[in-house]
Amino acid sequence: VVVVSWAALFERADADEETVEDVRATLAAVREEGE
Amino acid sequence: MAPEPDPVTVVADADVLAADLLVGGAARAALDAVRAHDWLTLVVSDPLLDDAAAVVRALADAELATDWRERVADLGEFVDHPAGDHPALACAHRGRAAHLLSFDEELRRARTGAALKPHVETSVKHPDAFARLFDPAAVYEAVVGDEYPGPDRDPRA
Repeated sequence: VVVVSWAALFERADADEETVEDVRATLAAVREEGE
Repeated sequence: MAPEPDPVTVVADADVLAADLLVGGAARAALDAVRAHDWLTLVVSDPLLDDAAAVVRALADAELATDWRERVADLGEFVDHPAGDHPALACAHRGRAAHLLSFDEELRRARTGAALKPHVETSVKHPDAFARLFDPAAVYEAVVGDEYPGPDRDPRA
């Protein structure tokens, strides 16, 4: 397995404009779904 | 009495792991400290990475989530814990982590500290507090007993 560098991952991810609030809300939904 | 935490061991909750990738800011600054130092250990578990990868999948895409998971799995040290446990707390407990990074205020409240204390003396911090206060030179000198040589790993590799 070829592991992608952090630099490449950040470059791909930084194209979007997520916020910490988006992340927290999505995580809450993921954990609720898993229960 | 709770076992002594390992001062070079860190857990990042799934919100911090996902924000490191998707947002940057405090989460990335905090995890850069871990990426830049080979002697710091990021404790992870499959349930913890499952949660963070699900967030990446939902907010970005499945391919990025897969690639991210492979990269973070390569960086982290895995522990096992029961499926019903809170992944970050369980990782802190099993990994005897000195630091647990989370954006979750509930986790950072004294209640969580009290719940963890019988198991391990973990300090639950906002990633910004960790990024500002963590002093790798002081920790290295205390743990290794030698002069801090500076970062020994490329945090973007």
